[in-house]
Amino acid sequence: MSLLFPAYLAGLLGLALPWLLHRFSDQQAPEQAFPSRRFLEATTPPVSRTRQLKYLGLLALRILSLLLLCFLFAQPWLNRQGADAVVSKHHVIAVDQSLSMRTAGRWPSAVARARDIVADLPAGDSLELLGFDNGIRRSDRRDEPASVQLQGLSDRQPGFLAADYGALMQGINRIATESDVPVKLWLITDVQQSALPSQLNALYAPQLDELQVESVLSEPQRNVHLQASALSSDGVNVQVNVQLLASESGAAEAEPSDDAVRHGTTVQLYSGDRLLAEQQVSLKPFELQSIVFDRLIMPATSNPVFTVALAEPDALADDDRVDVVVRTANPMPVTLLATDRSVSGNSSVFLTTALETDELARVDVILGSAERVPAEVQHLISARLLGEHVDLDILQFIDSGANALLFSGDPAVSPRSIDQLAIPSIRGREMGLSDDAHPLQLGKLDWSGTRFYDVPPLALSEGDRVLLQTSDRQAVLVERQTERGRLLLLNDRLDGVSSNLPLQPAFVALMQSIIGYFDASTALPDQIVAGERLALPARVQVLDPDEQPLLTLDASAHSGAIELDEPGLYKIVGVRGEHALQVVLDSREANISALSESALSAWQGRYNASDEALQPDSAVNGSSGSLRADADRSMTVAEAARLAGWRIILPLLLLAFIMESALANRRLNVRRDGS
Amino acid sequence: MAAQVANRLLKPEVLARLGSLELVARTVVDGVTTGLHRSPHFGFSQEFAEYRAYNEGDDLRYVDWNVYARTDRTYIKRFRGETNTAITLLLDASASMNFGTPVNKLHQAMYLLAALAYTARKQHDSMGLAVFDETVRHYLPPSARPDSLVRILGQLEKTEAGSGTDIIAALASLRASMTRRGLVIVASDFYADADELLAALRPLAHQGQDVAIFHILDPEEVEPSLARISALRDLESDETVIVDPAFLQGGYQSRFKAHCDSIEQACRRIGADYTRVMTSEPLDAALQSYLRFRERRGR
Repeated sequence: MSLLFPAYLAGLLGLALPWLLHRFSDQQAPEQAFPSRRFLEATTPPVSRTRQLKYLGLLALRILSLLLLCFLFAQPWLNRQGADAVVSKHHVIAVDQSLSMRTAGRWPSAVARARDIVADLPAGDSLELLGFDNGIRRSDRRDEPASVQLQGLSDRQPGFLAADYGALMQGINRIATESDVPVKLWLITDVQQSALPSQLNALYAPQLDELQVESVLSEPQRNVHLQASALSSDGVNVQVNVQLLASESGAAEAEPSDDAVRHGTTVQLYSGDRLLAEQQVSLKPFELQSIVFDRLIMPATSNPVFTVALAEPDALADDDRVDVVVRTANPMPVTLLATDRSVSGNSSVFLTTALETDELARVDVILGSAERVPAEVQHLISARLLGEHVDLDILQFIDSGANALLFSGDPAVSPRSIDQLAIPSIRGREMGLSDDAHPLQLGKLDWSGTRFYDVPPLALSEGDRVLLQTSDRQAVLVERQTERGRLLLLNDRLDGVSSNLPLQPAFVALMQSIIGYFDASTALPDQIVAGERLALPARVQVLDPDEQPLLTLDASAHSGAIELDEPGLYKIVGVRGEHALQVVLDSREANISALSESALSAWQGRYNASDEALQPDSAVNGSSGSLRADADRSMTVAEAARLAGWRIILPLLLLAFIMESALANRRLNVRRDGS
Repeated sequence: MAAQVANRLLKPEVLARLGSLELVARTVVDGVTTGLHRSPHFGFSQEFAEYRAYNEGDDLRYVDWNVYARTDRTYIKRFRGETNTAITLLLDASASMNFGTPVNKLHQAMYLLAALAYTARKQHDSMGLAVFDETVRHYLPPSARPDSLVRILGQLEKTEAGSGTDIIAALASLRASMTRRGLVIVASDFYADADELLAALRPLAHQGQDVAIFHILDPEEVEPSLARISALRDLESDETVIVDPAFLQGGYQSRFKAHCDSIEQACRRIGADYTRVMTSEPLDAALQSYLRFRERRGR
């Protein structure tokens, strides 16, 4: 229940309360002690005197106080009644610019509807024309006359992003908050079901005064959305997987039924302009179907691409054709750099075995410095002296955005057998604390059997983050801060003598975690949905499907993010080579099924109910939603008038209370305790 | 002069704050006697008063042998300080006495009797006390012992208002105890029939008792100031009577005045001294009335 509630006027009935109290109270004569009734004579009280109201001034003050109180609370509503007649409205026309509006005929219909609305607007009302998809797109010309804004709308075209009615309504709510007059939203859209937010309460804009949804749907339309991926496990043979989903605008989305009408669709596979294969499929609305094109030969290009297309056109042409890049399932290249400090052959065996498990990585051993590591290799493992300063060649390697794992390779300490170790070290030290907040999540590994017999000295520098340490607090795994790339220091010789770490199952998990952590820092996705933000490493350039660079020179020098709104095959070019990125359409948006009538009515009804609440007869019986809208609306209307009313009524009320209190104290002989 | 004396006396509300009844009595009496200076009333020493012819049975120690030698007649010397009167203080502690402002009637009566007891102690009189309401609640027979004043004041301080009142019955039961001639001082609001009161007091007078009546009244019961119809609750019977203020201004006051007058006339008939004591006024008038009464009676 809102504080600003017209039913507070019903509180005027409370005026009867003081009258009743005065009327029926104090009817019994006050009792007093008296020495003796010997000389007293009982008196029959005259009726007229007992029924007479006493303290009329006090009664009047009390009634006045209640009267002021009632008007004080009902006053915003009263003000609005008077203000409605003179205050104009601000009209916001929001036109859907999402992908589904590219369906045949919808956008011209939306523009025409906007023109009709503008033509019918009252002369004194203001207007803002804006577009929306996953958020509102306000125009720079929103302060211009309606004709100028309409011209700007005609120049626009729907994009490739998905619509979100929740984001729209919250954006409109902010506009309504800033507005001094009531705001009416004209929503011109294809009432797409997929545009509903996951949290339906996001559809409610408390500051909005009125909502009018204008649908551009005219006749039922059908669309087939196509998604595809291509994979080669051996670099020669390719398999293309295609997924198809049909939808119809005339019906709300539902589970596919057996009696639904099937439509035949032909899916074609191209390599360049050459048709390689085609398949016929029969689709029911809202039924997901998959087909496979197998035994294809990998095209001999650096970024092999196939094209999958539908032979028959449908309502939305933009999702009928898609280019897919062939992905190869190659293990990750890792270089094990052997230098003069790599004194143990055991370490290379342990490392290679751990990394090549499950074909996660392919380890190549190279002799020499890091400068000899091939450009496409981004992960390096090497034995080094883990001092305060890292060797220059490693730093240069990391500075290119690559990653390195250095383990202890101190030449001064020759490999020793257990017999040569000091007696206290025979039992070894257990693994102690681990940094569970680190993405490696080393605390989840089983370190129970791991023992460290001879931990090499490690000089920590400022900013080092110890990820693993022994029970006597000697660092085992450390991450050192670098400007680019990642550098981990594993303080163990990995020879199986100074510790049993390489012999433990946890070692395999540790190395795979480290490689996964490294890869996450440099890996780029193969596919993103249009409108998603893509995080980019530094020193890369993004080329659009037309091979045009998207990043400025300054932007490409630093890591950052880019939002790719149009579908197609993009290229990310960097020092490590060229990476193909497929930007695909949002499959939810390609589902053109419409919002059900009941859902649409419920959404729009919340605001229509507020109109009914404006009528005095329905004020008391209005629904809670309409009352809330009523109250919220009154917050924005006639602000100045409302404050003026409070300024007058409030002092009067205060004065009445003070006088009532003073009079009651005097006439009713009220005393404070102790006085 | 009397006005100056009255001004020096403490008002009842001030006396109520003194706490000790002995201190109240001393304050009241010293105030009165200091104001009187050399007033012609009886002194408190062994002062010669008169000669009286010897009668058989008189104590031979008081025969003035010098007069006998000159006149050959036997005379007895009488001294003023030798009156040795037995004073019995009667305090009405009925519920109706628990009324009045700034002090209630019971307290005013207690202050008065304490002051009288203090006066009597100075005259070496023997003193007794009876507290009654419907019956006699406490009775201390007259005694000339030095601690009699302390005992009387102690009893007075413990006294609280009781329930109903029946002064007639109380006087009747006390009559049997007061065989010795002396002075009976009654402090009460006398809510009793005047004729019955007369019948109760008359035997005391016939016994040779001197009776002094102090009629304790409160201004609110003499002239009620109620301005609206009120329910008046009888303190003794706890009954409630709804009374019109117009009646209180007219009929009640005339009735009450007639009652007070009838009480006063009853006292006159048996030679008793009658004094009205208001709770709003100092006790000097009452004390002076008492002293004048003692002077008249030559005791």
